[in-house]
Amino acid sequence: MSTPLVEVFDLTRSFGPVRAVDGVSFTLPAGQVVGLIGANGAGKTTTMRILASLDQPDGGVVRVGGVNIVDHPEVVRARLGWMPDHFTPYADTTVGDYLDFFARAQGLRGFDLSRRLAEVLEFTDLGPLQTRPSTGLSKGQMQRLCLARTLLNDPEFLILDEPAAGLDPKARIEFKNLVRILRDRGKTLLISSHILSELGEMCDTLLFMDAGRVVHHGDKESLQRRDATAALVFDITVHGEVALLTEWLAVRPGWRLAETRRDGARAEFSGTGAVAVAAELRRLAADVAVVDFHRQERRLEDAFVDLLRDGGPPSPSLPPPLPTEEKS
Amino acid sequence: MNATAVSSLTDKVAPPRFDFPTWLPPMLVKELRQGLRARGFVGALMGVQTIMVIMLVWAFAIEGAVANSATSMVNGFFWGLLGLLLFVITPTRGLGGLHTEMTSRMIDLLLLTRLTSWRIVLGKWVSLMTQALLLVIAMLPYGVVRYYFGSVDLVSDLRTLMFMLLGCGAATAVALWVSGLPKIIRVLLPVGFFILLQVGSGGFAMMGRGGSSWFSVGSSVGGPGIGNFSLLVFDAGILILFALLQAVRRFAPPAENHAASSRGLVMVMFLPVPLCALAGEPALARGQLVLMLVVLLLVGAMELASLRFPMPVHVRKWAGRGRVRALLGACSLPGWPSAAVFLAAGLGVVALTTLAGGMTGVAGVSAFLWMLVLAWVALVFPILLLAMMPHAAKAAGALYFIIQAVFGILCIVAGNHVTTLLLGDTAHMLERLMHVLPVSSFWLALFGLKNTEDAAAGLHSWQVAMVFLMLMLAWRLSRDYRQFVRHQMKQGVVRAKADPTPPSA
Repeated sequence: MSTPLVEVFDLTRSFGPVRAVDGVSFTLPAGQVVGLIGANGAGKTTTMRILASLDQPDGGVVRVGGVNIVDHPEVVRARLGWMPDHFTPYADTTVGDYLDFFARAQGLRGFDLSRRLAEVLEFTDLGPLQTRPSTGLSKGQMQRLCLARTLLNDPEFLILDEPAAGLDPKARIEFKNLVRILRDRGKTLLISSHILSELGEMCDTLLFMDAGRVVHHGDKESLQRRDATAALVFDITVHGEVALLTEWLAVRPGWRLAETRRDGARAEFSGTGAVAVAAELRRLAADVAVVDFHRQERRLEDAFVDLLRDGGPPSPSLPPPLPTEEKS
Repeated sequence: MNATAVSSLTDKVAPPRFDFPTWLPPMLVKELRQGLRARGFVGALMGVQTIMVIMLVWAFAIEGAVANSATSMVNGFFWGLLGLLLFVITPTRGLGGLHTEMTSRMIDLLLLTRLTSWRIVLGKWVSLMTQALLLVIAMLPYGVVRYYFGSVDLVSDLRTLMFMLLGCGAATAVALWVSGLPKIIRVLLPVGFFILLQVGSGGFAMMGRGGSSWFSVGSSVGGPGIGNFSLLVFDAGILILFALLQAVRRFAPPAENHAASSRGLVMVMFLPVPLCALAGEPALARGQLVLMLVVLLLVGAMELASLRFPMPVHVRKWAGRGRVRALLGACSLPGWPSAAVFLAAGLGVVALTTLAGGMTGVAGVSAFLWMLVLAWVALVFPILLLAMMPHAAKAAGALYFIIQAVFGILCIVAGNHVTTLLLGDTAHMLERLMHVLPVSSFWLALFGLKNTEDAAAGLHSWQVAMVFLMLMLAWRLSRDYRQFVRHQMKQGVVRAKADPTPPSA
């Protein structure tokens, strides 16, 4: 594994009686794309805000590139880019003026400023939109503008909070391509999203949070293999009333309805072995007009729901312990 | 990427911007770009030009018939429009300054750049003032045309214009401060201001009846003179800085400690006092000392109204830097115990100056010093009450001022002897209580309602007992805070030894 760029150890943050982040520890290796997943209120945004030096932890240590974020936030800020989930462009400002301002605010001047602006405009394909008012852009163009701003200081570490939210399919594909290029350029990305299938495609590892804790940290495959005794998932299509199928699944032992569709359902079967499955299929076909019955790969969403239901062990990849005086 | 490739790329997609040079502060450039395109600015500029042209044409038309009327009309419109631009339009534009940035969370993006929270607010203020200056400059040709109609005193006009710009600066800074406040407070602020005016006028009425002389020192300050003028500019500058600092505190990252700057600014207000005294202007020195005292009490109240602990980073900054700096740190940390120490130190400075002769014009120096003690108790008392309530932390700021207001109203009731009419025989007891209870005893002392009968009745010893009770309570309730600060100081020394030099960006 490559050298960790980000080290988080025993991070805590409370808001009054609510413990938003509760002893979170993980490391992010340089050059990896990491997905941060969790239900609403799981502590994702608070963790990301602390990593971006926008909030202060009550306890624990965060280091980016070996620099403590509490002691030297200005050093860390120079190395990171933050793309929030909510982006409102400035009124009475063109795309070019917007980026020019943030480039100046990052300390760029003269030729460096022009060169960097040219690079990010070309990378995000915003060159032709330079003179357009920033408030007159489509959602996809706005996300590209936001990404362009994030890249102005050429950060090593990018934190993207729900970057694909509200994008149409074409813009999502474009965005995924940009993420891929950034990874190829050696950037470390921490991406939070609710669209788990997309995260699975983009990310090298996934970090699951629940109730302020990390419940899983590993690659997609490790998550899907996490529970070897997990139920088998079947996709069933029926002819006629779907209610008949759902009622059958409700009364039949070993089955659990996962999701209903217009023409069928997804269900989990806790039994194992081909014989048991074949017997169940025969019973089902006798009671319901089954058109299609096939086994599915376990989806990230299913694994996520299982994790939330079961809870999980803390991440095995804890950073080395820190000196005792820093743990206060 | 080689230089040629970069040049071709630069030529292709990013033509350089020539509107503002790159040495200008980025925030100022951004605000000017936005501001000069905003409808508010363009509308004000066009509107004023149109009104002045129409007014001048009209004035020329009637000038032959009624000369005096034309002169007063031109002057009226000129100064009236300038007042509108500087005291209404510019501060109103400032009212949206921080609100939009904070609600859209753009402020986070700004704070992640090299811009500090102070530069962000200063950039907004300078931009608004630059636009106000542009509007004034656009009005100047009409000021020159006023010569045609006569009755123009150039020196007086320039002085007036300068004071107007100073007032505009202060009003705009206050508007930026208000723009960062929650909506409910922005709505309640004008109501509160009105109530304060009423209470203030009531207080002055009581003062007149009670024969207080505290405020008479201020009345001697006035009239022309370089000393007065310099002090006015100095105090206006402090007001502007103070308002901008409060605006900064609305969104600054929690790691930044602006309590220190806020308190430091109050102490800066003391600097002209010895200078005025040395320059043979004792009246100015007294006036400045009273002004500093009023601001000290105001800032003291604002700083005390919080039950929060400082963040470790605030404390560690002062660790291992000697006893004097540690003491300075103790006066500058966020949280009520530190604010109480600062307030005591500030009141101590006022008391020492009074003893040294700065307040020789005030009758009863010892009574004045006792009033300072009562002031400390009055400001600290509500937060001590709140510190005893475990669930008060979240709304401590609002509750603090509610307690102050309740006691203030009780004091006015007692001070005006309304209690005698309402409560009959029990009124006397209530009045005596008012002289002993922390907040009201200060107000009654301030407005000179502490009469000799009360003193003879042993109220003074009760007041002394109350002061000691408050001191003991403050010491007891600040125990956790003091332990936290001591612990973080030790941690700071350990960390400073472990990592003496910060890494480079």
